[in-house]
Formats: sequence, C-alpha cells, structure tokens
Amino acid sequence: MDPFTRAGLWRIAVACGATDEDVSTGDPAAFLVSRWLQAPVDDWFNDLYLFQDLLGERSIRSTCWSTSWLGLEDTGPLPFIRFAGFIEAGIRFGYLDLVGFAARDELRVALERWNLGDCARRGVTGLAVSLRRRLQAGAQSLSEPRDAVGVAAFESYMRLDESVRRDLDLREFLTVCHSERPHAKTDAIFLAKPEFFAEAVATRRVRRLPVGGQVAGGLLAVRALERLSRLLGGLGQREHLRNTLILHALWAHQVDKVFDRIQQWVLRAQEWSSDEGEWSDYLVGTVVPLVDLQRDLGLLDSDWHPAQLVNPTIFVDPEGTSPTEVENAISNKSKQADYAASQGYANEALNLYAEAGRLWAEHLNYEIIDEKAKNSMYRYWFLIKQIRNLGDKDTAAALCAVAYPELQKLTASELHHEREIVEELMESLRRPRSSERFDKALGVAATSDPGTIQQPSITPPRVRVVGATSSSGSATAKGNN
Amino acid sequence: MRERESEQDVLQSAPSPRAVPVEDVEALLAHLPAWRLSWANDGGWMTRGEALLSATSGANAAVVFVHGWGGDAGGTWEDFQGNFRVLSEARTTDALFWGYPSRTPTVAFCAAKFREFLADLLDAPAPSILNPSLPPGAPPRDDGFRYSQITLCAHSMGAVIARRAMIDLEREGKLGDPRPIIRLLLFAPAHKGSNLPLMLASGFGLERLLPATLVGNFLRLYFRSLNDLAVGSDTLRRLEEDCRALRVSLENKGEDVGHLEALVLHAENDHVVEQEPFDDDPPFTAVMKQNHRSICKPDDSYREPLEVLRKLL
Repeated sequence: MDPFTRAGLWRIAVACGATDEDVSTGDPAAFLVSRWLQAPVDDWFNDLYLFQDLLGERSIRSTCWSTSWLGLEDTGPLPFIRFAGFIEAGIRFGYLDLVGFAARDELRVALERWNLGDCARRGVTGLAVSLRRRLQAGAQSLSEPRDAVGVAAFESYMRLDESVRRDLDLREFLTVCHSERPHAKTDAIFLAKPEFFAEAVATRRVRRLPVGGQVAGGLLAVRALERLSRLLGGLGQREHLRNTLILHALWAHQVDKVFDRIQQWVLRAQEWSSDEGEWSDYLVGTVVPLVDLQRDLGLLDSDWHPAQLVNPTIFVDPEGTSPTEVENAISNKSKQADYAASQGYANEALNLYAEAGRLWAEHLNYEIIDEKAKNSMYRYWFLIKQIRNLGDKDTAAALCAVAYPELQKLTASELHHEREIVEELMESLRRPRSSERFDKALGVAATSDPGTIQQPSITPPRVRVVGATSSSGSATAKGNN
Repeated sequence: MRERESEQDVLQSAPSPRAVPVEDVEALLAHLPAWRLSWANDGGWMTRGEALLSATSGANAAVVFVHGWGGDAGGTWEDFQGNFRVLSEARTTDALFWGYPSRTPTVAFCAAKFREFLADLLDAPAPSILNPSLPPGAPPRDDGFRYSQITLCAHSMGAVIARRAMIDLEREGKLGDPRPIIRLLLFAPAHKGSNLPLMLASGFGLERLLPATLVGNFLRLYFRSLNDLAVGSDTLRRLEEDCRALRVSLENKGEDVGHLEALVLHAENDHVVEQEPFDDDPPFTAVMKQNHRSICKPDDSYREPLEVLRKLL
C-alpha cells in the first residue's frame, strides 16, 4: 500500500470518529478491522433486517429522513455506511488505491453481511453497494487514475462533511428541517423582528424564550450548502465525480426541505427592509444548481422550485394597470399567500391577501356585466373570505364594503349561503376597531365612532369592460386619488 | 424522480477524463494528505486548522493562512486549499491554515496568540508545529529544520492580526537568525477599519439572506470586541503608528522592511472594509466583480489570488 493511501485511510478513519490514540496504533487496516469490520452485530439497532425495513419504509413514504437520519449519527450502521462511502469516493477521486490494502477481504465480508439492497435506496447506501461490487470484482477494480485535482476535491469534500458533522447547531437546524414537526411557529418567534433574529443568533434565545441553535445553524447550513455547490461546480464536466459527492452528502439530501425553510426566512425578512441581501445571487449560485442536481438523481422530496416563492413581481405593484397586468399581480400575490398560509405563516398570508385585495379594489372593481367580470368578483370574494378565515375581520369587512353592491348581487344570484357572511362583515363595520393592516391595505383612516359605518376612502370605480383583458385603457381609474 | 436504472448508472464506477496514471505517487502528489494542524504550545486556543505539508525532501517555504472575523480555516480558504496542490511553484511549500476563535476575544489577544505561533514557526517549526501535524507514517522533519521563506496570507481581520504579530515579533527580535524572507499578502484587509454591521453580517453569512445592515446593527450589541475594527479605533490607529515608526527605524538602518509592507487586494463590491492605503504599502490591486467574502476564493475564472501567491513563492 502506498504511503499516501495509508495516510489517507487514517484521514478517513478520523473523519469517521477515530481518535488520536487510534491513529497512534499505526496500522489503519488492523484498526478498521477491529473497529468496523468485525464488530458484533448483536444489538437490536444493528439488526440488518430491521435496518432494511427502516430504509424500505422510509423510502416508500418519501420520508426517509427523521430526527435520526442525517447520515452523520454514530448509531447503528450509519457510521459504517458513511465510512464505506468515503472509501468508495476516495477510490473514485484517486485519493485511495486499495490494491495493497491488507483488510480488503474483511471489508468485503462486512459489506456483504449488511443487507444493503441492490439499489441506491434514494442514495442512502449507494456508495457502499458500489464498494461491495468493486471488492467482489477483484484487484483490477481497486484503483483508478490519480491526479492532484481529484485528490484536492476529495479532501475539500471531507473537510466540508466533517465541519457539518461537528457543528451541533447546524445539525439541529437540518434535523428540524427534515422532521415532521412544523417549524413555522418557532421560526415566527425570531422572524418577528430583526432584533429578535440577532438576539437568537447571538444568545439562542428571544427574550426569555429558548430557540436553540437553529438560527445560527441555519446560517451555517446556508454556507455549507454554498461550499458544496462550489465544490460540485469546480468538478466541471466530471459528472461521475459530482454525483459521487452528492450521493455521499446524506446531510444535504432532500435539500428542497432546507431551502424551502430558508426561503421563508428571506420572505419574512423582506418585510423588515427592502434590502434583500444577496439572495438572488445565492439562488443562482447555490439553490438552483443543487436542486437541479438532486432532482436528476431523484433525491428531492418534492417538485420544489425556488421561483415559486421568490417571484419579484409578488413584492411590487404591477408594472402597468391594464386588467391583465393587475390580474397577474393579484394571482401571484394570492398564490404566495396560499403558500404562506399552508406553512403556518398567517400574518404574512394576511398581508399578501390584503395586498391582493387592495389591488383589486383600486383597479378591477368591475360591475358585474359579464362572465369575466363575475369571475374576477369571485376571486375577490375568495380573498375576502381567506382574510376573514385567518382572523382579520376588520380588513375583510373593509374590502367587502368597497364592492358591497356587487357582492350583494353575487350572493343573491349564486352564492346564497354566503350572503350571511357579507352581511356579517358589513355589520361588523358598525363597531369600533383598529387594524393596521386595514389602514395599510386600503389607506383608510380608522374611526372609533361606533355609530357610523366606516366607509373606505376608496371610491369604488365603476369600470365597464367587456372582458377583463380587452380594454386596458378603460380600466385605469383609481378610486382613491 | 428518475427511474432506478438511472440511479444504478450513478453507482457504476466509470473512469473520468483525467491525467494519465502515474506509478510514482510522490511525483504526482507533491503534498502529503491534508492533516489537522497541531501546535505543541497551543494551550487549547486554536480551532480546527489544517496542514498541507510538502512530501518532497526540499521543503523550504511556508504559507500561513489567517482567516477573518467569523471565518474558519476550512471555509475561508477552501478554494486555496484545493488549488494549492496543483500550483507547480508550491511543490516545496507547506501550507498551514490557522484556525482561531475570532468572535469573542479582542484583536490584541488574537494577535498575541498568533505572534506566539509564528515565533515557534520561525524558531523551531519541526518539533512545535510540523511534526505534530504530519499524517501517520510520514517521515518527521529534522529538529533543526528552518524555513527560508514565510508568506502570511490573511483575510479581513486576519490582516490586522498578522500585521500586529509581525510588528511585535520585530520589536522583540524574534524573527529568526538568519531571518527568513517574510511577505504579507492581504485580501480585503480591515487594517483601516470596517463597517461593523456589515462585518458582523459577513461573519455570520447573513448577507446572503437578510438585510445585512439592519440585522448587523442589532448584532453589535452582542459582539463588542469587534469595536477594535471600527474606523479610527485605538487598535488600528496604534497599529499604523507602530508600523510606520518601525519601518522608518529599519529603513534608517538600511534593513529590509518587506515584512511590514503588504501586497493588498481589494474587491469592487466590498462594502465591509475601508480601502484607504495603510502606511507605506504599495497601491492595492483592484479586483473586479468580487466582494468581501469572495475575494479570497479563486476559481476557474477568478485567478488573481493564485497568480499573486504564485509570484511570491
């Protein structure tokens, strides 16, 4: 065995938990045999059939990640899978040459002892299976051409993998991303204000509420994934090597779950300030390449696309005021709001629904004269109901008042069972209230006079259009100027 | 998801386009496998660092990399580590990626520890640093081994630490006898001060996601030691005054001042550090399309850092 491989084997052993004392024993083959290759398989977790069941179950349910499955844990077969993956990757990158490795038969037997399956099982055991085949094939498969670039890339990857493994905050963040526990409510605590976010980063608390290391861990995850993406990008046309690293980085699998959560942070932070940081660069340089690579390998959990959430048109008014442009903007905001609501971000969802409602009230307050106008009114009514269902009756009532006559017609002719809701909302305007969202969305000065029905300052325009897209010029009237 | 056959394809070990196989490993790989950087007199100070030591018998130079506030030896210098193996000029050069806790201690304290590290590197590198950092099986260096050239490569706050350590070593007369050639290569140095909220945001990697200045301002409440890097701070004012006085003194004696003058690279999109000249440094190299973080991360299209280092080796 060449000296580089000998030292490289020790380096991998250290990455998998070997200590300085272990290293001082001198012979990596003897150490590996005693540590992993001849270890008894006698406890319940090490039961290979149970292991197989776990993998099978989780694969079928598309939830192969749980709190115990980042691939970095020191329990059960995971260290061995990680170790075997390093060996296989090390050979592919030219870091190791196993031709002279004294314990290769023991390694093969150990790999055969585990029922790893014949397929990649969503990448969990893929490299270990490859190593088993390689060892079974014999000496001609135990080395591959070696060059400095490949060796350097493998060392970079090991360094990154180790840093992820060592950092408990980062692991905590990833674990929660992959768990089935909803994190939106916890995240909402430190995302409420920028000072809370800073406090959580620095102290792991928000006021007296512990939030753990997830916030700092999330930022570290962002950096780790950026490093991984750069590393993969640096491999250029070496697709085989790129795929090897993706398969080994179990902690980065189903990265859609991680990016989805991070995007929620970005979305929330955009309410603090219009400065969105370097998110768009990060999207292009890290998110999109990693998601695409994992999608190609079937490692994503969903058909997730970052553009769904970060669509710049969502956060600005439509470029023009033609019905089509406004309808598109409303549609975008509504989708965004639906998504935010489904993730538990009620406040963000309310703001977005209210924004969509404001756009409609200002630009598209059609008189119902045809099907298109009626459909538009349906969408507006849906927005109002969503806002009401999320608990902001004041804003819902204000939007209702803007188009009250038309909503009366709608509920009289078709939505009979919802007429009560319209009336209930109008009735609610008679009582005192104050809603910031209401004011912001409609520009209405709240009054505390309980005796009067508050009339929004928007004077509902009455725009007659024959089809919402046919007459952009006639639909530009704004009621509140 | 692609079909299983596609996954199987991934598992097949396929040869990739690469160099011709070479029997002699040492001819191909001039450096040993990267190993954890150890320092006998560490005293529990250093964080994770790495040593990439030359495997050749003619090793005679070292490059010490010093990261900045909130960075780490792996993340900050990742791309240098990857490229060092393929630099032909670096075959006889050791690369030491020094890691230290940057967020809490004062700049002065970090500099004092780095000064001690450098003193050992200059005086007795083999027993104190190199041999403890060798991978298993590698032949140890002789106790009498000394470097003929040392380059300090630092980023952001690391530049202040490196300069302070260099000045103090010169004052103490601990730069070795004979003194090796010592050079400073600084990326986005904070030696003229920095925008603290942005420095904090950069240290945490916030700027990728959040409004950096806004959150960074709140973070300042928790990381007061960073005030050492504010524009006009006592730390930085004294650093430049000491450097100037020492340089003038050495020049008057006709001695080399190369270890007090730095080659500096600043990035076009760096809003974190001040880009004014420091003492008698030569004019800095203006790097386009990079920012405070990326300036020390060479890749296929951004080669300046490697080219500058190559010239120093």
